[in-house]
Amino acid sequence: MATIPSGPPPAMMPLPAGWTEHTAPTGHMYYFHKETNKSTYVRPAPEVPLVQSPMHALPPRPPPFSFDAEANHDNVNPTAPQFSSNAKQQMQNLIFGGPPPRHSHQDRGQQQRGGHRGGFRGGHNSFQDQRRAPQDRPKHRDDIPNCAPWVLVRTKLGRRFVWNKDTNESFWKFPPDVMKGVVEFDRIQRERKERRERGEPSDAEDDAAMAEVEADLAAMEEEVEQQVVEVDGEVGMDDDEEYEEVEVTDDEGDEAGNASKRQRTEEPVDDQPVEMGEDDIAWQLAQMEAMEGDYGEEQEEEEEGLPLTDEDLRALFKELLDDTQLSPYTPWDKFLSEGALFEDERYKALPTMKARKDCFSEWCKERIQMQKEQKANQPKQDPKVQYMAFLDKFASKKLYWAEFRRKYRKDPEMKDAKLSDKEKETLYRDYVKKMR
Amino acid sequence: MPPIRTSRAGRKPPPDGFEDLEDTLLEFQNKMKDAENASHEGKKKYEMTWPVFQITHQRSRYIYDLYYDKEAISKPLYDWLLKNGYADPMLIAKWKKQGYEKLCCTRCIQTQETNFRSTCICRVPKDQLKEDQRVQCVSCGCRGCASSD
Repeated sequence: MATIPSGPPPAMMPLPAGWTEHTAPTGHMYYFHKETNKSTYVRPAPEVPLVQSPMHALPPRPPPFSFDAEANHDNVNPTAPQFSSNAKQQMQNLIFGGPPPRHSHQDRGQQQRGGHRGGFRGGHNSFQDQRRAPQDRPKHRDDIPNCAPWVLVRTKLGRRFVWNKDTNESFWKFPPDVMKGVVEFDRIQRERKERRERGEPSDAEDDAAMAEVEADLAAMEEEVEQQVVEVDGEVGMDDDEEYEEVEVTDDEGDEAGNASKRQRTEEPVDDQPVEMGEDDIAWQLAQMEAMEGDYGEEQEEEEEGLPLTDEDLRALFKELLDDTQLSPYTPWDKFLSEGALFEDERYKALPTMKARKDCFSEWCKERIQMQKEQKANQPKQDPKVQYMAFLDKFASKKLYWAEFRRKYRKDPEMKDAKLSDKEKETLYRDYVKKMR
Repeated sequence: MPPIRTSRAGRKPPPDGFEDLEDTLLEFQNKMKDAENASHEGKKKYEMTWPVFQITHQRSRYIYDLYYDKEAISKPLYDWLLKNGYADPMLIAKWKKQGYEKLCCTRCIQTQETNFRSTCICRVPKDQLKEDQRVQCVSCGCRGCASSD
């Protein structure tokens, strides 16, 4: 059951004195201390505590998946999955601002397909709620055929990564040899699903395996809560855990929704590994700031089911327009051709082009009004002042007015229409006269 | 003999607020220049002027929207823009009339120039056209500018 990793020490760390490693009948590793007669699924840490990398300095959270994987920036797996499942952890995240949720193309697309995004909530203020978005965490584990130590783990948000049971390494991007196994596994899964759809009874061992995995998961969650599961007997605890599992899973609010999502992920099997690649991570990082807010809202939306008012949607769209940093005097076509609008989630806040355009002109009106007021508040500058400063810089005795004008005709001061040409000329002549 | 216009004298400077539109108008101007200088190669004879009509329409619409819809520019500035040829006042005059809100160009409502004393095909509402009938008018390349579309 401890097979889903959660122990703090990295893989190759030697066990502290007194601890021995054993394999449970279920195939999981556990650790036993002879003197204290304690056993745990969590690999006991050595006496000297590990120096935490600055990455983990911010919030106190359950230990990362494996330090190896995280510290290894050379291969493109900068973020090993992080788990936070207990309520306390979520509370801490809420208070201290937990790490942003990580999403992939895949589950984003999925949510949209599944109609899970109920739109957006709240206007300008609700973006602060982003912190409350739940974190990703492992949900489901499968053995990969012919890749003995490697295990395929599916997360709550439907993403997948591989985990090496032996070395305790985990990768979002599947290593090539594992990739083959994953593709094979996907094929088997698909076949099984098709068989089930055809109405054939699913084989018993299948169900058994499922149950076992579920139990593992539950146990894992339990563990993260308690960090150390103490067991009196080595055998016979499976049942307890399985019993516990029911409770834990039922507590999860949107479990059902995620489960259905997960099943849908299985369909586009073969291209999935590609999706989990570097692009994905880069994309995630890039989108993190922009999308987080929307996500938080979406999640909340799912939880509370409050419909968005029309006003909120318009406010959201206006915010997007604000973010483009374009002048409100820019025509609508230009806004569209810039392309920045389409990429943003908020673009879809309004369903039709007509609604968008209406909202746009409303926004323009507001912004222009605002700018006008600002301008009115600013003290008016005499154009002569600027022009005289310009003359002070460039006027020369050697240049006649015509020459001077031709030479500097492209400067804004010379182009300034508020001062007529005649005035400019007399000012120049006077200035040059004084220079002599 | 008409007065000779020079850049130096005669022309009034633009009223306040022109600097806000200047960039966009310059963009339109450049687009227009490109359209005027574009090669005719591979185009039909009547296609040549389409982009000119389109840009004129866009620019007029831009100014029309700013003045009537968004109320962003002042009356003097609007008048100045019309006077200096930034927008087509005849076209704008049509837009104010019911049924002509989206009119593409004034040539398309000229009944005098057509064989059957009718308007251009682009003035026909989409629901009165045959199913899947694609139209593009000869005079300005408009694909349909009926108000009901």
